[in-house]
Amino acid sequence: MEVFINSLKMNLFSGFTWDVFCFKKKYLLYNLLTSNLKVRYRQSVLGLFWTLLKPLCMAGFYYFVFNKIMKVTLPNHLMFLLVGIFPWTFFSQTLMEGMESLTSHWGLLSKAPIPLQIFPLVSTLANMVTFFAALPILLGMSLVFTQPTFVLLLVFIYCFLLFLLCYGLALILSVLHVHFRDLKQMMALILQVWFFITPIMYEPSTMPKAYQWILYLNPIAFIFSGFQSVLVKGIPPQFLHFLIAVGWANGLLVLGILLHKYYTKNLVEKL
Amino acid sequence: MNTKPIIQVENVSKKFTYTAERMPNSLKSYVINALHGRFASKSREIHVLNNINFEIYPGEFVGIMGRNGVGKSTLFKLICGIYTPTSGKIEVRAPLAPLLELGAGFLFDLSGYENIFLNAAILGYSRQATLNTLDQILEFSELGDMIYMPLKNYSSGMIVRLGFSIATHIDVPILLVDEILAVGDAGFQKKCLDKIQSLHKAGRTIVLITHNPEAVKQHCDRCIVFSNQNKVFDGKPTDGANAYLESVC
Repeated sequence: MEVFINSLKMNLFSGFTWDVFCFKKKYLLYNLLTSNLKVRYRQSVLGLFWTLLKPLCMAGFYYFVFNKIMKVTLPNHLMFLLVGIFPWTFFSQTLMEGMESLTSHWGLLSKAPIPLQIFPLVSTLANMVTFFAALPILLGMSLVFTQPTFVLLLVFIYCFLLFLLCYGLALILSVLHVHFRDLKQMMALILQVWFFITPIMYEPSTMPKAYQWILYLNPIAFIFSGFQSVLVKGIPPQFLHFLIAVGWANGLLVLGILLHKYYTKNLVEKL
Repeated sequence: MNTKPIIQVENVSKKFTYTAERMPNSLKSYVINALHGRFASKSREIHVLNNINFEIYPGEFVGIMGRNGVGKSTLFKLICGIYTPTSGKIEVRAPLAPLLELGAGFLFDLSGYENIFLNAAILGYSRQATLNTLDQILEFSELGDMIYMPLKNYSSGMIVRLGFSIATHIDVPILLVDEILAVGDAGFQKKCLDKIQSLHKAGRTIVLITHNPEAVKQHCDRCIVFSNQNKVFDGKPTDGANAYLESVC
């Protein structure tokens, strides 16, 4: 067992520090990331604004439907929705872009020796920038509408967990998409279901007892409920829930790294 | 020669596996096929290279020739590590610049100037190395003020000029050049070959894939010819050019 753990550690750290965090390639990572962001936001002055407008509108619609039409009210309802929908937009965008990050760079990958892990990382980081642009909005609302405490600082830990989880899933999906090209159509459906089984529009405690297991199996459930309790209610999350969130994020990241380490040897030929 | 080879290719074979048309790579068809009990995909193997051996020593200028589809580009991709060999071993003992395509990774919405840094990073050059040679790159590319325009406004010749300038102005011991000189006008082709020749004089190792026997005779020290997955000739450029013409006709 100890040998296994040690070899895992060795593998992870050699793979991790050299390839995944791309210490050797950090200049390439920096260049790919800045070019990605420039292309994304250069064409329109309002680029970043448009990206933020979509989740704002979505939250507005849900607020209208639930609060005004169906008369389901929660304290700070609009803010509650925003706190869920901003991370969700980041999450779903990263997954869709990360999934295609290898297949869409086929031309480049077959012409230059570049570590494959760098492209899912670029997708995740580029979307993270948008998410960080939205973070002041969420923090500002939290400061104005609730009684802020030091608990608020936990939000950065949850952001980091969400980042790790997104990167892990992007790594996994990017490899799967090379083999199964119809994954894209399926992901659209999966994300739709995923949105509703995740505590975004409701609190996890309102989930009936019989269905609580769904939350434990959902890798992002306790990250999103963490955002809710930290930003909206201003109370620290249950320790068990926090541990589950950490477990899922790290587990998926390790899985993604191992998948890339052992199953990408001849991947470029198959792109 | 007493020195250690800078590139060593030992018993290298490469085969590609292609899935037959009835198994397109989609999850849907995978599930349907699994339901019908067809788990294994019908695949076809294609041997591209078979037991290749050769060595390249520091400072050599080697021309690689062979008809289309004989595995020259595959060999380059194996040498620079994009593909892994099916069997055999490849050792490269110095940093190399892979010029498999000029301007790999160019983004057309960015300016030529921004693309210099992006492309240089993709080729594995550091920021400092790029900055040090920036003036020479700008001068050689003959782009003038166009360098600050988005790449989508460039002609294809201008893009090739920029790509070549970036790739050849930064100090890397080994240069792998794959047929990139087939594009561009005659004047620019000559300028490129002269540039490569001057890099060779400065002590760099150069491996060039080409279909032009005259270029091989004129510039190379040595010529390797491939035919039917095998190395069929390795020696003097003039004889190599003849062997190539024989294998093609």
